[in-house]
Amino acid sequence: MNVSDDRWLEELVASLQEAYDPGPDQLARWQEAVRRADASNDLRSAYAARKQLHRVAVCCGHTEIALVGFAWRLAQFDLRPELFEQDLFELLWDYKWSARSLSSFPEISRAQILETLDDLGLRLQRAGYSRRTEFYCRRDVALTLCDLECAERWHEEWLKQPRDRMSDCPACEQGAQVISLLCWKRESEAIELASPLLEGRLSRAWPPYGLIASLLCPLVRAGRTEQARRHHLRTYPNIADRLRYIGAAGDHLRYLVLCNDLDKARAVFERHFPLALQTPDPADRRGFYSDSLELFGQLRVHHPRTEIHLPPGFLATAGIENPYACSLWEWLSREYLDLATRFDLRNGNDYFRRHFRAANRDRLDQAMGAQLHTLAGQAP
Amino acid sequence: MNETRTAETESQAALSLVKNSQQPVSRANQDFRFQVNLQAIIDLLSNHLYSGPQVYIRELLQNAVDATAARSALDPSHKGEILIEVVPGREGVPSTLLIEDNGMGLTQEEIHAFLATIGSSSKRSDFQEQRANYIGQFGIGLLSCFMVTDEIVLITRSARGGPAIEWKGKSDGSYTVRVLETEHAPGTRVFLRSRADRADFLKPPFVRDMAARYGSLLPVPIVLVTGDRRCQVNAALPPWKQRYATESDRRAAFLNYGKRLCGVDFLDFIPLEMRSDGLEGAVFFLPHAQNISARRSNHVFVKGMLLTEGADNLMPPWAVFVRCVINSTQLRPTASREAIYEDDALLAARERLGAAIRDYLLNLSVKNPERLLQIIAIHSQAIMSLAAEDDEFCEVVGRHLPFETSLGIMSLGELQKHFQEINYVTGEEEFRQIAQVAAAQSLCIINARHYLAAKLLERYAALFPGQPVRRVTIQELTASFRDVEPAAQERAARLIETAASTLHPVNCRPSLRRFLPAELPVLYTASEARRLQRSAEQAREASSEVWSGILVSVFQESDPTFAELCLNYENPLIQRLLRTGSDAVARRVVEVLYVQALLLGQYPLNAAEMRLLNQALTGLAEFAAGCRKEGT
Repeated sequence: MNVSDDRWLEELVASLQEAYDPGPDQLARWQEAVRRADASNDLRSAYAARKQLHRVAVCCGHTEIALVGFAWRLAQFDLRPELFEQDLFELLWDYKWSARSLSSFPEISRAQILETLDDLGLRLQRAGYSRRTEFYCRRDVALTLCDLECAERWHEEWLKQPRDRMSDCPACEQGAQVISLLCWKRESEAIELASPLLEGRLSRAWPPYGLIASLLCPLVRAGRTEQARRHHLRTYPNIADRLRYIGAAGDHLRYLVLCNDLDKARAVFERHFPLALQTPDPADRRGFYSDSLELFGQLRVHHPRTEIHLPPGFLATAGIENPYACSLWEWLSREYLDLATRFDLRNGNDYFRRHFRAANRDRLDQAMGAQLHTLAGQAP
Repeated sequence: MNETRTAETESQAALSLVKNSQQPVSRANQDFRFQVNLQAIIDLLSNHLYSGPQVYIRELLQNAVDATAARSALDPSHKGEILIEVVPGREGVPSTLLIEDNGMGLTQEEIHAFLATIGSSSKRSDFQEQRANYIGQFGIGLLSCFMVTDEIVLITRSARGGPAIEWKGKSDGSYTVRVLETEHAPGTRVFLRSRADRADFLKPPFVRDMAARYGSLLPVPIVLVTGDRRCQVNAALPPWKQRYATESDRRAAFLNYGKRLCGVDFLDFIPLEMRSDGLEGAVFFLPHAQNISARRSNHVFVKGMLLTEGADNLMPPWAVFVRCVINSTQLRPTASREAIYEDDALLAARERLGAAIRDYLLNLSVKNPERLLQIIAIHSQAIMSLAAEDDEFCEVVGRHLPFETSLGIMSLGELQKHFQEINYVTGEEEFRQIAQVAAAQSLCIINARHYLAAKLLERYAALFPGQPVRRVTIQELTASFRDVEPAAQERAARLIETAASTLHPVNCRPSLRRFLPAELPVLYTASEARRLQRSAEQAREASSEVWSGILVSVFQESDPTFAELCLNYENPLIQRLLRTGSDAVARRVVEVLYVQALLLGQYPLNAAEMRLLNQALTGLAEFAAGCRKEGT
C-alpha cells in the first residue's frame, strides 16, 4: 500500500467544511478525489475520500452514489479492521442512513433489505450500542415498505430503548415521530408534536425542510393556514432546484393545490419536473409524480388546455403529442402506476396502486384510456 | 452532535427548574404559583440563550436607549445621553462598572413590576403604543448582568416625579428596595461589581470595544468616562448618513467602513436607503470567490443596536457574493436578540435586498460595464444562479458570464456571436474525456458541469429561439465523428469483431471512426451510468454477500451499460493493426489500448481489467520473444 501524501485530500476536506451544504460541484470534486486515490492505489485516501463523498452525495440527493461508496467502505473495513477501526462510529452512523435508504430502490428485494437490517443490528450490538438505533431503522424501513402495522410495533420498541451516542439527535427523533404520526393519519397529534421544531425551539444539524414541507397540508386542514403560508414562503426558496429535496418540493406543490393556487403549483411543477426526471431515486420520483397528479387532476377537469412548460425534447422522448395539462395527466398517471406497481410488488402489498385508485376514482371513471384502467386494476 | 448535547443539557436545566420549584404540598385544593429558580434561569440564559457574557453590555445599553426614547416621547426637546465608567477596584477589590442614562427612570411601583418580575418589560405596558421605538421587549435583559456580577445596584428617579429609589438585586433571587433622601436627576444608574472570574469582561478596553461594537449606530451618544477624559464611542456617522463632496470620497468612505466592520477589502458596494421599508445600510461585494453553499454572514442592526454579525437568513440564497450591513426598524429580534425572527418583515427585506443587488448589476451593465465584468469574473457562479431564474437579468448580464469550453474560456455573448449552435455537456468527466478531441476538430463544447450552468443555458435558449442550445452526450459526439468509408469498414470488419469479443467481458464495445488528433489511437468514453456501474463493480468485488447482492440488484441486473472504445482510423497504429491479419495480435493490441485508455483517464482497473492487462502483456512478451507466432 502506498504511503499517502494526502495534502490534496486535506485541502478538499477544508473546502467541504466551508460548504456546509455542498452542491453538485463538490460532488464532482469528491468523485474525482475517489478516482485519484483509487488510481494511485492509496487505500487510506480512497477510504477517506469515500467517507466525504458519502456526505456530499446524500446532500446532493444522489443516493445511488452514496450507497456504492458506502458498500466499498464497509467491505474495506471488514477486510482490514485494524486499519480503519477508528472509523467504526462514523461507519455505523452512515450504515444507519444506508440501510434506511435501500427501500428507495424497488430492484432491492424485501429480503435483502431485512438482511441488511439484521447485519446492521448485529454490528451495533457488537459495538456496544443499545438496540434503539436498530429499531429506529426497522421502523423507518417498515414505513417505507408501507407495512404500517409492523412500523407501529417497531416504533413502540424503538422508544422503549435507551438513547445513546448512536441515536439521532432529539430533534431528529422527534421529527421521525411526527412522520410516523403523519403516516398513520394522526395529523393533529403530528402538528402538536412538531410545534417545537416548527417554531425553532428545538433545533438540529439540518434545517427540517422536509418535515416542514410534509406538515404544510396538515396545517391547512387544521385551519392553520397562516402558519402554513409562512412556512411555505420561508422554506420553499431553500429547497427549490435541489435534487435532494424533490420530495419536499412535491409537498409544497400539493400544498399550493390544496390552497387552490394552481398557477403557483404549476410553476413549482415546471421548476422541479426536470429534477424529478433525472433523480436517481425512484421513490422520490414516485412521490413527486403522486403530488403532481393532484395538480394535473384539477387542471385536467377545469383547464385541460393549460400549456405546461416542459424540458426541451421531453415531448418527443415521452411520446406525447402536446404539452397540455390533460396529456401530462395521462403520462404522469402511466409513469406513476408503473413505479407504483414495481414498489408494490417488491413490498408485497398494493399500497401505492390503492392510493392511486382512491385519489383518482372519479377521474378514472371518466373517459380514460383502457391502459390506465388495467394498470390501476392490477392490485392483487 | 453538538445539538444533541445542547438539547439534552437544556432538558436537564428545565428539569432542575421544575424540581427546584416543588414545594411541600400539604394544603389540598389550593392554587399554587410556580416558583422560579433564578440561578437556573441565569444558567439557561448564559449557556443557551446568549452567545456569551459580553452581551450584558448590549442589554444595559438597550435599557438605557429605550429609557431615553421614552423620555423624549414625553419631552421632545430632551437630549438623551449615556455615560459608561469603569471604576478600578482598590486592594484586590474587583472593579465596578457604572452605566448612567438621563432617560425616563422608574418609580417604586415600576421597579417592583418590572425589575422583580422576570419576563415583564416596561416597554410592553405603559408605552405599548410606541413599542416601535424600543429595542427591548422581553423583560429578561437585566438578568444578563448576572453573568458577570453577583449583585446589581440600580439607582433611579422617574422623570414623572417622586423620590430616587435604590434597587439591589442578587443572583440568588433576592432584592431590596430603598427610597433615597438625596437629590438625583431623573434617569437611571446601574452599578455592577465584577465577579472575580469575570473581571476581564469589565476591563475598560473591553467595555469600550463592546460599547462601540453594539452601539455604533445608536441614536443616543454613548460617552465613556475614564478619569477626567470623556470619549464618545459612537461619534462617527455611518457612511450612508454622511454627505460627500465627490463620488470617490463617498466610495472610499463606504469601502473603509466595510473594511473596518468586516475586515475585508471589498470590491464594490451598494448604498441602501429604503425608507419605506425601514432599511438603511450597504451591500458590499466580496473580493474573492465564494462557494454557493458557503455560510452567509451579515451585520444586522435593529434600531441602531447590533443584533448579529452572522445573520445567514437575511439575503436570498443566491446572494453569497455579498456581505450586508443593515440597520432596520422593521426586523424583529429573537429572544436572545442575536438572530432575526423569520416573519413577513424578514421575507420583505430579503426580497428588497435581492432586488437591490439585481438592479444594481443591471445598471452596471450600462453605466460601468468594466466593473460588472470585474464582479462577474470573481462571482460568476453565484451570478449565474440569479441569471438562471430571471429573464431580464439572463439577457443583460448572462451574456457576460464565462464558460469553460473545449476551445478555452468564452463568454456566452462570444459563443452566441461565433457559433450557430451552442452545445454543452453536463459532466466534468464527460468534458474531460471529450475536450481534447473536440478542440482538435474545432468543435466548441461547453462544460456545464454545474446544474446552474445547464439551467442558464436553457433559459438563454428560450430567450433566443433562433440559436439552438443543445445538451449533447459524449456518445452523440463520438457518433458525429466522420464515418469510415464502406470499403474500409468492410476491411476492418474482422478487427472490429475481434475487438468486440475482447472487450465484451469488460462491458465495452468497439467502433471505428475518423477523428483528430491523429496521434490518438483510441478514445474511451463511458456514460455517467457506466462510470457509476464501474464503481459498483469495484465495490462488489470486495463486498459481503448481502451488499454484493444489493449492488448487483441496483446496478447490473436492471440495465447493464457499455462503454465505447472508438478506434481512430487516422491513427498509424490502428492502420497497421488493420493490416496485420492476425487475430491474436489484434486481440493483444486492443487489450493494451483499452487499458492504456483507462489509465490515461485515471480509471482504476477492476479485477477483470487486471486480468486483461496481464494477458495482453504476457501475450505481447511472448510474441516479442518469439515463443508464439502471430496468428496463434
